[in-house]
Formats: sequence, structure tokens, C-alpha cells
Amino acid sequence: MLFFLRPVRFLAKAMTDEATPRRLAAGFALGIVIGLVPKGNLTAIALMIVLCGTKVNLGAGMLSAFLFSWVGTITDPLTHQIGLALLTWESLEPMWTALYNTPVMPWTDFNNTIVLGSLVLGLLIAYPAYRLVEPPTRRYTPPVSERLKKFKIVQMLWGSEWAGRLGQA
Amino acid sequence: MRWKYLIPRFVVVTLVWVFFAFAFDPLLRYAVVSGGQSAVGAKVDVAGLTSGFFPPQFQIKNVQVANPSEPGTNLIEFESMRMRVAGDALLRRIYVIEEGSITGLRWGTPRDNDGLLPESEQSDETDGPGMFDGMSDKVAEFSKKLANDMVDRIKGSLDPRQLETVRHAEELNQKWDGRFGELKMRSETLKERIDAIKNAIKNTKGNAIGRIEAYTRVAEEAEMLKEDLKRLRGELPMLVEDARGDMKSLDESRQRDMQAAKDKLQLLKEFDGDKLTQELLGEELKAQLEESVEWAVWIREKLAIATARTEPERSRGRDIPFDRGAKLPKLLVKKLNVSGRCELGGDDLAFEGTITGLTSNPRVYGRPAVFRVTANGTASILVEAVLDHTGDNPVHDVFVTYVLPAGNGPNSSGLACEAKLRFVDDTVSGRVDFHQEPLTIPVESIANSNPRVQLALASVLSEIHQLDATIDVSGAIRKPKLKLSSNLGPKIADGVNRFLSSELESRRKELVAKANILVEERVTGFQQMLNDKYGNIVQGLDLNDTQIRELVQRVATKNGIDFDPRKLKGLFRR
Repeated sequence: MLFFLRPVRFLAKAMTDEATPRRLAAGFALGIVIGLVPKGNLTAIALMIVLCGTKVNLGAGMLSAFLFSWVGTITDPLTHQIGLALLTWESLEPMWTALYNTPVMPWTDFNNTIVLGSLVLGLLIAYPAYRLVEPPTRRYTPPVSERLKKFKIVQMLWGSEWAGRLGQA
Repeated sequence: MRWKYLIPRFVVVTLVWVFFAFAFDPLLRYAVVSGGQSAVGAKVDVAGLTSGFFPPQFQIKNVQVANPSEPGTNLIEFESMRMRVAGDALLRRIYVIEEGSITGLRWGTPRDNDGLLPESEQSDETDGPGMFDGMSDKVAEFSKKLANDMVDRIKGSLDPRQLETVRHAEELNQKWDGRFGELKMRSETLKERIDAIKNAIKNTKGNAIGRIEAYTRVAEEAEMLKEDLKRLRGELPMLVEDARGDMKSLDESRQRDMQAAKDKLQLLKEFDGDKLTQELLGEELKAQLEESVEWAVWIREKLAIATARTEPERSRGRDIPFDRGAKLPKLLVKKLNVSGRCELGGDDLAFEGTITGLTSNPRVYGRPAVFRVTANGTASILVEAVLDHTGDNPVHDVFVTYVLPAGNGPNSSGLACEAKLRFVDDTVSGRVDFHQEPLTIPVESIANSNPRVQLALASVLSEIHQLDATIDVSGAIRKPKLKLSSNLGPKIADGVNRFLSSELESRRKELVAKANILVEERVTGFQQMLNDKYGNIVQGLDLNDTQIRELVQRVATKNGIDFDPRKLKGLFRR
């Protein structure tokens, strides 16, 4: 049972962790990119690896990825146009062709208009989003974290008791 | 601090591993089942699917694909399918099956359930055709028909009622019966008149003047009788002339009858070999060829569906293709080994073969797909198909050989069939050769009432030891033009004609002899009738003539004078 609860536990932990506001904002920004990009391709997997492999806040990243997955369906027409413009830009064609013939790259679906368009759009709005999110997180994270820690379920999920026991042992 | 960083990442990695270790294969299996079911329109059962990444490969076990048009049967089923995927191509998202194998392949097998999907409708699709049967049964069946035909022809030529002479003689008999009857009646009328005069003389009484008057009338009557008799005699030479004319026409009829008997022999020799071939093998071979063509059309249609460049279902965005350095299609099966069992014409055959160059885009690949399957059981079958879709018009070359060795079955022994057909667009051309040797036709099956015909036909058929037939095919696939040629028709026709020649020659002689006798009888009878009746008439007339003379003499004697009634006539004026 604990095995299956573990991901949820880590999510709660991430939310209530004593993360820095910068990591929370960076995780949120990266989550936007992941959320916008369609899944089922190597681009989405690579972004997930980046999310997991860096010190950005995982919880914030997954939350924003979940939210922006829905936003992505609304922005599809826009991202399609962006991707189409880039992929059919004549001067970029040699680069795309070279990428297309590079092993593994076709699995990224970069030649799909929405994948490329949403990736570009996500990257473009990632930094502004980081700048926008960072101040509020700096301000509200400590009180929110303290309040959440009071909930029994969060405590259980967080595993502070278990950690404490292990620490005493 | 380190654990807080590592544990979440470890969990994610663990989840990824768990997915590939436990969920990937079931998901892939689910994709295969759902994709197969939507393609076929019936249930697809997959017992198990395992995949590997180093090297990329997958194996599917115990697959059953239900037939939507025949509930309760499988379209195909196989025990195992193993595919080894080319890794470098896979990195470029190209699915190249370096080598694959399908074992235990069967089709048309029964299944536990009907295999229909909810709300699915039965399609009109049908399974493929059977295979060639031996020709002996058809030959035997046809021989019976031929024997009856021969008997009918021979019977028809021997009917005496068809002789013109007989019919003409009967007509002449009736005609002369009538004419002689009339003459006889007239002769008898004369006799009656003579008798009446005799009675009148005998009964004449009274005075001399009265008797003279009576004798005078008698004399006048006798004179009229003489005139009538003379007229009647005058008709006899004409009668003879008419009789001669009729005899001549009767002789002409006889000559025509003899000629007709000879002509009939010539007509009966007209058994045409090509027509016999057409009648004997045409329908059967045409049906088999049509079935084969239907197979080819069915394969073409299925192949067209399989290789159709359908865009993947994708609701988001558009894929922009770029030039690939290596000319490879999206999907390519370089080599696929297949083996299994099939049932053809009631014969359970084990087959094995290879399929090479099967691809989703033949133009890019630039080579045709080649099927080569051999099946061995009671019969040996080789099917080779080169399906070339590299040009503007698809060209399919199909080569089929079917060999049933001698000694397998009483009627299908030693049968070999070779078909070379080319399909271009909606047209087909090529030829199909059949060869059966030894050809054993069950002679006892030619049950016929005429033992001579039965014997002759058996003799003809016993001389035929092999069957060679060729069908040249051309034209539209759905309605090809077929030209059939075979040694069987000409051989049977030749044998039958030889028999008919000798048989009909003897029958003709018999017929001529019979006709001669019959005609001779009729002619002789007619002549006899003419002679007899003519003689009777003449005799009757002679008698009448004598009696008239006597009568005249008697009238003269009764008067005691040289009685001349004409002189008396002047004495008594009225």
C-alpha cells in the first residue's frame, strides 16, 4: 500500500518542503512547457527528465504541467501556426532535415507543428512566468507550508514521523 | 538533504521501469487487439505478447482473428509470430522487420464463440476458393452423354418411315386404287346395261311391229354400249402412260433415298473436337479459373488495404515530412517466414513460405513484394506472386503450380496445373495449362442400352492416356475472355468419328439393303397391283365387248332378217 502512496507522498512533500521560492518558480515554469507540449513523444519525456533531473521543485512542476495540459488544447491553433511557420521556413529547412535524419530525433516529433509550436511557445513564456511566479511564492510559501503541515494526512504522507523514528534509531 | 533530492527522482525512474517491465507489454497487446479488431471488424484474441529492446523484437503467441462473415470460424490463427526489428532504423522511427516468422498459421478453423463484435454486421466477404479436381469424373459423365447422343443419331438414321420411296409408294397405291376402282365401277355399269338389254330381248312380246320397235331400241342401246366400251378402252393406253410415269417417279424416290442414306453418313461424321472440348471441360475449367481470379482480386484488395498510405490518427497538428537520406519506407518487412496448415479441396496440406519486400510505400522502397509459398500434402502446390507497386500502375504476376502425383485417388491421379497470370490495373492476361497423366476414365460408368456404342466409346476412351488443356486468358478481371483448347475433345471426336464412320457404313449398307427390299416390295406390289387390276379391267371390258357383239347378233337373229337397226330407224318416223 505504501508503495502506491509513495508518489502522492512525494507530491505533498514537495508542496510543503522547505523549497526556495526560486526552485518553486523554476519548477512551475518548466511545468508550463511540459504541460503545453503534447505527450507521447520523446520531447515530453525529455522535459520530464529535465524536471526530475534538476533541483527545481517537482511538485510545482507537475502541478503546472497538469494545469497547462488543459491550457494546451486551447492554444493548439496558435501553436500549430507557430510550428508550421518554423517548419516551413525555407532557411531552416536544412537544419530540420539534418535533425530528421539524426537518430532518435524523429521520436521527438519535432516535425509536428503543434509539438514544435507548443515547445517554442512554452520556452518563450517560461522565463516571464518564472519572473511572475517567483515573488508570490517568496511571500506565500512559508505560511502555506506551515498551515499544510498541521494536517494529519499531510503529516502521514510526508512521513515525518517515520523519518523521526528512523533518525532516532 | 541528499535523500530529499534522490528519492523523488528514484521514484520516477522506478515508475518508468515498472511501466516498461509490467505495463508496456499489456498495453502493446491491448493496442494490437484493438487495432486488429477495428481493422477486421471481429474479435482478435492474443494469448500473450512479449517485447524486448536489446535487440528490438516482439513475439505474439496464439492469435485468433475471427471471421466476421462466418461467425464461429477464424479468418486466420497462428501459434506464434516473432519479429526482429532493425534497431538503427527504429532510432529514425522507421519500422523495418529484418526477419520475422509466423508459425502454425491456419485459416477457416472453428472457434469457441462466434467472434462477432457487439453491433458488428456480417460482411459479404467470402473465403478463398478450393483447388482443382481431377478431370476423369467429368470425362466419364460426358462419355455417358456422348454415348446416348451417338445412339440417338444412329437410331434416327434407321427409321424406315423416313424413306421417301415408302411414303411415295403408299401414296401411289392409294391413287391407283381410286383410279382402278372408278374403272371397275364403269365396267360393271356396262355389264349391268348389257344384262338389262339381254333381259329386254328375252322379255320382248307382242306383235311384230311392237317387237321391231323394241329391238330397235335395244339395237340403239347396244350401239351406245359399244361406243362407251370403245371410249373406255381408249382410256387404257393413257392409264398405262400414267402408270409408267408413276413408276418412274417411284424409281426417282428410291434413288433419292439411297443418296440420302449416304448423305446422312456424311452429316453424322460432324463431331467437332473443339466443340467437344468446350462442352466437356469449358464450364468446369472456366469455373475454376474464375475462382482463381477471384482469389487474385481478393488478394489485391486486401493488399491494397494493407499497403494503403493511411495517415495516423492524430487530432493535434500536422507532421511535416523532410527528405530522408536513406530511402526507406515507414514500414518494411524485409523477410517473413510463414508456415502452417491449410485445407484445399478436402486435402490437409502443410505449407511454408516466405514473403519479402512487404512495405507501406513500395515506390520509396523501389522493389516489388514477393510471395513464395509451397504446400505439400497429397498434392504439391507452389504459389509465387510478385506484386509490383513501384510504378504508376500496379502489376501483379502470379504463378501457381499444382501437382497431384499419380496413384493418389482413383480419378485425380497425375494432375498438374500451371497458371501464369498477370494483372495490370483491372485487366488480366496469361494462360493456364492442365496436364493429367495417366488419365483413367471409369469405363463401367458408361451405362448404355447399346452395347456396341458402349464398347466403341470404351475403346475410344481407353486410347486416351493423358489430358492436356490450355486456357488463354485476357480482358477485364471481372469478365475475362477465355480461349480453351485441349487434346481431349479432338481425340474423342476422332475416335467417335472413326467408330461412327465404320458403324454407320455398315448401318448404311444395312439400311440400303433394307430400303431396297422395302422399296422392291412396294414397287413390285405396285406393279403387281397395276397389272392385276389392269388385267381385270381389260378382261371385264373384253367380256363386255363379246357380250355386246353377241347381243347385236342375237337381236338380228330374233327378227329373221339381216337386221340392221340403223335401217329400221328410217322406216318408223316419230
